[in-house]
Order: sequence, then structure tokens, then C-alpha cells
Amino acid sequence: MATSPTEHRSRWNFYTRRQIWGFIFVLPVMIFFTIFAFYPMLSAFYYSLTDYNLLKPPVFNGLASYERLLTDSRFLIALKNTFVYAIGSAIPIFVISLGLALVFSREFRGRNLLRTLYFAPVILAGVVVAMVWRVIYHPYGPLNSTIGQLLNIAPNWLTDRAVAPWSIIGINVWQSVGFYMIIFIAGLQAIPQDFYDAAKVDGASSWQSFWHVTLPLLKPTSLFVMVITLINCFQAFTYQYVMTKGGPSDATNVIGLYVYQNAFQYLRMGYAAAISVVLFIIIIILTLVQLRVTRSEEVSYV
Amino acid sequence: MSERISKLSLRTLGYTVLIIGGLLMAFPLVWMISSSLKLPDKIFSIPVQIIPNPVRFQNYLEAAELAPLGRYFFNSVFVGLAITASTLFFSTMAGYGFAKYKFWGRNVLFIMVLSTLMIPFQVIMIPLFVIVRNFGWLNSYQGLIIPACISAFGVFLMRQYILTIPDELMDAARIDGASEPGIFWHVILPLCKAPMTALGIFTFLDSWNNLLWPLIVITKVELRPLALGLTEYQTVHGTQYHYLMAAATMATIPILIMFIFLQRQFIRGVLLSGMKG
Amino acid sequence: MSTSRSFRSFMMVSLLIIASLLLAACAPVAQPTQAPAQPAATEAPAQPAATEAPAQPTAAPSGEKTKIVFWSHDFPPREKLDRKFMDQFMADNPNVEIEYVLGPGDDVQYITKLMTAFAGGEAPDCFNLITFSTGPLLEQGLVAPVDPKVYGFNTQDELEKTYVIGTLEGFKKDNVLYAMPSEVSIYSLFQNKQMYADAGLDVEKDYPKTWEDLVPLAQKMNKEENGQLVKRAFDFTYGMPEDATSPVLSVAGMAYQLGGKLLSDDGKESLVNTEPWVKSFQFIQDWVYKEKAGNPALTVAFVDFYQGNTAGTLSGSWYSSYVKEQNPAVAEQIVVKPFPQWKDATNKNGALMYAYGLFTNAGSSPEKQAACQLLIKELSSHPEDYLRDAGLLQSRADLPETEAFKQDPTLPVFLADMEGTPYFPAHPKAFEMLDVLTRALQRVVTEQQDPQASLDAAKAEIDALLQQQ
Repeated sequence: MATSPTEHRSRWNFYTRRQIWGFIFVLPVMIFFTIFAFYPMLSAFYYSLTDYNLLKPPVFNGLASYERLLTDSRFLIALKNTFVYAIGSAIPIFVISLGLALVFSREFRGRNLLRTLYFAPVILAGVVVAMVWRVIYHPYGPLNSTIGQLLNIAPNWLTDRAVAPWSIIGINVWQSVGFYMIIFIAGLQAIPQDFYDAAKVDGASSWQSFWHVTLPLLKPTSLFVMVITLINCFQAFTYQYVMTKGGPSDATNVIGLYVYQNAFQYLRMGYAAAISVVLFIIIIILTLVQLRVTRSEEVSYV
Repeated sequence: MSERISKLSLRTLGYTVLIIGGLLMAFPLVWMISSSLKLPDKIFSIPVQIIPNPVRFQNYLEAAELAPLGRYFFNSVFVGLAITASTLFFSTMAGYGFAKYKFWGRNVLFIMVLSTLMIPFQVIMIPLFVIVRNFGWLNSYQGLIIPACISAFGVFLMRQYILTIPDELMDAARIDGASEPGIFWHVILPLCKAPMTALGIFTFLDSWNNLLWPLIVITKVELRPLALGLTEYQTVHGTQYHYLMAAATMATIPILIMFIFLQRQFIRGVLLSGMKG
Repeated sequence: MSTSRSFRSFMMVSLLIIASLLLAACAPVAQPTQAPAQPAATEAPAQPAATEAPAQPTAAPSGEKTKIVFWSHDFPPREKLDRKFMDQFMADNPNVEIEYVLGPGDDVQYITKLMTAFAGGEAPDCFNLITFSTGPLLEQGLVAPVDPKVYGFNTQDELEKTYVIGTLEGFKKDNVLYAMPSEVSIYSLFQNKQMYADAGLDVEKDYPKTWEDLVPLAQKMNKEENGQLVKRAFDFTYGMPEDATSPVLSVAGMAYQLGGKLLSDDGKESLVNTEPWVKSFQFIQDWVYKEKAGNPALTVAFVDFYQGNTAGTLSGSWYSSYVKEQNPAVAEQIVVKPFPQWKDATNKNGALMYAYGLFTNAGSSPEKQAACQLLIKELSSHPEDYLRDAGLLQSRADLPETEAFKQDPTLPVFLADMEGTPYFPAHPKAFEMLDVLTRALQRVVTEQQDPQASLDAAKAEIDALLQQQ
């Protein structure tokens, strides 16, 4: 990871002609986000300090919403459920999608067909997912008839408080692995064959090759997958909305759904915004931690 | 000898697991298609019937009669392509800027971009609605396209990928006299085919399935995307599941075909011309 | 290299698209923005226009066209009728133009859309809305009272008399009427007479008149195969997403029959943890756990009824046409019986009522409001058509005289159930209260929590809501 002599001179000088180009390339995106993202976000932050029922303009009420959060048991339950959901999904998603990407990067018969199959769930609309999994999870449905018979269990996948959150995690993992598999495939393709050849020459086994060549060089992609998975899972609410509406009795209620309920069902946008701010802070901290820990500034192949 | 056997059994085990997983992945798709051809009272029947009896192709015709699916399809495609084209271009450009240039405030700006992903859409929906309304874009294609035409997800993805491109390539081009934008156009872009294909697919899919924003921004039927059109079968007094499945199938199959076609982009071999192998 | 070239041409095309989009965006806005944004949405709550209701029973002031935006939710049979009558209306009133917008059938999505429009200053001039969500609008004075003069009456009382007594209560605040019903709904007991026959019973003799009757009926009719409950005599609603009926209305009806109430008379306290409620919740819990006659995990009764596997479910008059569409064979077996009563009930009432009403936005200009009032009158003047073609009850007092009514033997049952049955209150927090009670019920039927404990928790939640007022 050496740097060339020409770059060394101009590394941190903002006024070098060349580095300004970086700023220029980034500018359109920053302008766009200022209008369509940062301003609405600031509005949302402002709402969190108000009492806003959507029918009248917001009325400032300071930190009242935040105080309320501390004692709101529904919020705390949703928060706990969200953590379980996010981490319980992220780990299987990461491992399985990486595994699939590795498997599908080799040639074998039926590879393209199988790869398409694993991607197929990603394209299904929420309503379809809800309907089909309701059938799958039915007490007398295919899941209990096959695996249930084998293991001699027959849980109520969607109405048992202990099981329901995991049923939904299952749906999330099922629909997500194809998505991240594609990202890993793209990342794997960028690793030059030379590295593998060199490792082979040195007598490395496939496992060692994976551990010492693939994994380190996959860091930027891995970081991406981890960060995005966590961000998405922390805000997720579609599955919960269509499959259980957060039930039974908040067993599957997550922050994303609780925000939606507060904003549009209970008409408490100020409170919903406060919850969002808390969520935002949690996610930003988690993301910064991940960025620090992997510290993948330059992982280019020389 | 025993090594060969164990390798073979490992392979078989691997294949089996893969195929079983594949079936779990495929089952919902199959069920959707099968339900789209069933009589409504058989859709949720337990045990699950995979082969409909009778087979009702009329479901598709009747579903199309109830709602102008062709128009919705066009809207989704048009909006999807526009958003995808815009996202691909700007995300790659910004990703390049963040990855390969060191300008003052770079990291802070990047975190700010990333932070736009961290706030739930429900609470920024209203201010965004007001902004779009003030631009006069309610009930228009612009209103559907422009607020979504750049994605932080895309910027992040392209930055991570471009980080792995060796600086040497850019330096070589500079020595050859290329301008900075020229480097972006001639060196970086061609190298980003794989992630751009991935990003293109995701962006298109995301816009295809997006429900909440079109829901509030559009009241005219002619502008409805397919995702919103699907909700028409969920009437206030019960859902017409057979039509819903027919319409959903019509919405899903084209994407699947698009994906099968785009898969080739992945296997089209060497990316770094001259740097690999 | 050719692939790189084609790739670059793709990029060129993309840039062209983007350029044209930007041009389109910057082009002068061609569409006329909706008439001046309702000031009510951005300023202090508007005074109800009640005292100056200018509508005479004639068309809106001539000259320029008055454009009104009318929202309703998705229900194709009603939509057809709406369009027919709107076309007629526009023909009769050429200076009124109606933009008809259909929102999603899912009530929560519809509310999201409507409230966003209010918040963003793009609220419609008239709209259809379920009574659970009208509380906040009524409280803020955002909807205009119905003008009885439009209907040819001098007072609201006279207008009300043309409707079945009590069925307009859901649209009232402080005794002022703010909407006309688009449909009024109550849950009665749908029965599948074929399933009764298959079990060797006669629906006319053996239908459950009381809640207590349900248990022996289930014992006779429920069928199990391999430990799976494949046929049910009846099942309750438990609040699952694919169910279009609400569990709270039924269980509240049960509680009211025993003298229970949702709120205290002064509206400051909730009474949901009192004996009538506990007894009703206990009954449902026993139904699931003790009698094992039903289960929230199974296919919801709303769906299972038309699949022909559940002989009884509680639903509204609109359910008949839905069943007909989903399974005509079962539709032919439909018999509707009254909402069961307790053996020793104090009151005779059905499941709590709800309705969809046609409201006028008080923040719209007077001309638009006038046009809306006329439109709403038009849409309320054809109860027979809505009944026959869409299965919707607009509870006019003269409805039982009409042909459509006489031809449907199930309808008198619904009307009879409505007598003496209150609405679920159109309280500003109604939606949230429904939610609290649904969760309380779910705790009782999915984790077998003690009903008293569950309802104590519910009372605490609702009391907290009431205090926020």
C-alpha cells in the first residue's frame, strides 16, 4: 500500500488543484442531500421538541417527549425487540450470504439457476411475503408438517410470544441473503486471481486461502454489508406490520413500527420524532464503532 | 482413495444443502404463481395445494380489468429506470470522490451522507412532502423521481468498492496526461461494472417496491406505480387474494427475467484489464 | 473493450435522461396548484363555519367552476356507484368539478395519506373517513357541520329523524352532526347452514342465542383430524393483520351487555377492568384454552368462513358480497343471526358500532364547502343502490321499505342488532384505545395472562391517554 511520490507532496493540502476535484465530484450529492435529506432530518429533530398532531402546527414543548420515553414501557420493549431483531438477523445474514457468495463464485453445474433461486426472494413484494409466510407458518402448514414432524414440535410460529420474533427474523434472513450475496459476489470478483495463485504456490489449503487472502481483502465489502444490514434491521418494520402488526401484544413490536404507529395512528409526531432521534443516535454510534474497528481506509491491491 | 470418497460425500452434502435451501427460496415464488391461478377459497387451504385445480387464467384478465396494470407497470419502469440511472451516475462519482481524494472535511461529509440512512422515513416524510409540494411536484413524475434520485446506500457501496482500486491505475493515467474527470470516465467507470450492476439492481428493486412515498405524493391514478396498484386489491372490506397474486406475479416476473439477464454481467470475467492474471 | 464502450454509451444515455429530468424539473410548473391551501392546516384551528353555513339547496354560485377534491377509500362496488352519482351531479351542476381520489383500503394507510395531506396543506375538500379516526378532526374543529337546509330541513333534528335513531351518533360532537353515513356497520353472527346440516343440526333451531350456547355447539360441530382442528363451529377475532374485523367491537359488545362501559360518564376514567369486561375476556380465554374450541394461530375466521371450515363468524353486512366473490358455494349457505347475548344480560345490544362518514373540510373556501355539502347529499340519496350493489347500509329509516332491503333476509338482523347499541366512541384517542384493548385481548389469548391483570394494565394505559387531553 505504498503511495507514489507525487501524491506524497499534496496529501493533505486542500488547495491542490487535484484534491478539489474530489470535492467537486462529491458536490452534487451534498447539494441534493442538503435539500432532500438534511433539511427534513433537521425538521424531524425539531419535531422531537414539540407536540405535533399533524392537524395543527407543532407546539414547542422542550424535552417532554424524551422524558416520556424513559418511562414508556412499550418503547423499552420495542427497543429490546429491535436489538434482538437486528443482531439476530445480521449475524446469520452475514455468514450465510458470504457463504453463498463463495459457493457461487466457483463453477459448477446448475450454478446460475441456483444463484437465481437464492436471489428470487429479494424481489417479492411485502404483501406476497406476508401471505406466503402466513401459510408456511400456519400451525398445520408446510413447516410444521415437515420439520415439525421430524423434530416433534409444533409451535405457533406467529402467536407464541417467545417464538414470533424469531419467526420474523427467519423471514428477514430468508429475504436478505440473496441481496447481500450479490454484494459479496461483486466484492469477491475484485480480488485479483494473482493472490490466490501465489497462495497456492506457497502451499496454502483452501481454508487458509480463504482466511488469509479472501477475508482480509474483503474488508471494505464486509464492512458495507455489516453497516447496511444493521442500519436496515434497526429501522425495519414492514414484516412486523404485515405479519403481526407488532403482536401478539408488542412481542414483535420494533422501533420502526412503533414510530409509524405513533406518527400516523396515534397522531403523536413529536413523540415519534423523539423515538427516531434516539434510534438515530444508537445507529450512528454503532456505525462509527464499526468504521473505527475495521478502519479500512486503504485496502487496494498492489 | 478415502480422500476422494470424503471429497465426493462433501460435495454431495453441499449440493443437497444447497438444493434444499434453493427450494426454500423458490417455494414462495412457486406458491405465488400457483395462487394466482387458483379460486380464491383455495389459496389459503391447508395442506398447501401447489397445483391449482381448476387452473384459472381468468384471474389475470379480471385483475387487469379492475386496475390499469399496464399503466402502473409503465410508471414503475419509467420511474425505476430514471432513479437507477441517476443513482448509478452520482453514486459512482461521489463514491470516487470520497474514496480516492483527500479534501478537507471529507470524512465528516461522508458520515453526514451515511447518516441520512439512519433516520426512519416516517418522520422525514412530512417535511419532504412540504418541500416537494413547494416545488410544485406533487402528482408528477418529478415528485416520484427526484427525491429518490440519489442514494446514500449507493454512495457508500461505490466508495467501498472504489477503495479497492489501486491508486497506480490513476497515477498511470495522470502521467499519460488524463484530466481528473477523464480519469473518472475512462479508468474508474469501466472498472465498476460489477458493483454498478449490483447497485442498479437494488436501486431499481427498491423503487419498484416503494409504497410509502408514492402513497402520499400521488393522488392521480395515471401516475400510480405498481406497488401502489397492488393495494387496490386490498379493499376496505376484504382482500381479493387471487387478483392480488395475479397482479403481484405480473409485477415480479419481469424483474426476475431482468436479473437472469443481468447475471451475465457478473460472470463476464476479467475486470481489471491488464492487472489480473 | 467493446463491453466498456457499450457500458460507456449506457452512461451517456443515463446522463441524457438525467439532463432531461432536470430540465423538466426546472420547467415552469404547468399544473394549476390546488386552490389556496387550507389555511386551517397552518394557522390556528379554524372556527367551525357552522353559524354561517351559506348553502341553499341550489347549485354553487354560477360563473367560475368550483373544483373540489373528494377522497374515498378503495372498494370497487361502492366506487362504481360513487362515479355514477358524481357524473350525474356534475351534469346537474355544471360549475362544479369533482376530482375523485381513491385511497388505500387499509385504514392505517388511508389515515397516513390523509394526515400527511392535512399536515402538508393539501387536505381534500370532502372525504370519507372511519369513525375511529374522526375524533382528532372533530376535536380540532377541522370539519364542518352538516347543513340540514341542504336536505330540505330546518333543523338537524328533523334530518336525524330520517335515519334510524342512534345510528348517526358516531358523527356527532356536542350533539352537532358533522357527517352523513357512507356506510354504517355492526357485526352480527354469520352462519353456514350447510355445516350445521353436515353435523346433523338445524341452523334455525341450533344457532347460538347466547354466548353460553357456543360451548356445547362447538363440542358438537368441531372436528379434529390427527390432532388438528379442521372444522370450527365458531371463532372469535383476535386482531391478526389479515382480518378486516376488529376484535374489540365484539368483546366490548359483550361487556356492554353485562352493564360494562368503556369510559366513565365524565370521560375522565376508563372502566375496562370492571367485572363485565373481565368476564367477557375470561370467556374468550376459556374458549381458547379450556374448551380448545378456537385458536388465534389458526386461519382467521374471516377467511376460514368462506373456505367453508368455520361455521360461524362475526362480521358486517358487507361481508356477504365478499364471501360471494371468494366462494359462491358458501355464500349460498349464509344465514345471519343476531349477535349472541349473555344468559343474564343486563342490556340487549350488539357489537359496538362503527361507520364511515362523508365529511366536509372546514378549512376549504365557502364555495367548496357548499359544493361538498351538495355532493354529500347526492351520495346519501341513494341508499337502496348502495345496499343492492355494494352491500353497504346507509341506515335510513325508510330503508326497510325498499325492494333491495326486502330481498335480502339478512338485513333486518343487522338493523335489529343496531337498536340500543352504542358506537365505539369517536374519541380523539379512539384508535389508540382500540389498540390498547386489542393488545390486552392478545395477552389473554396467546400467553394466557389473567384477564383481570391484563385489563388492569389496559385501564392504566387508557387512563394515561385520557389525561393527556
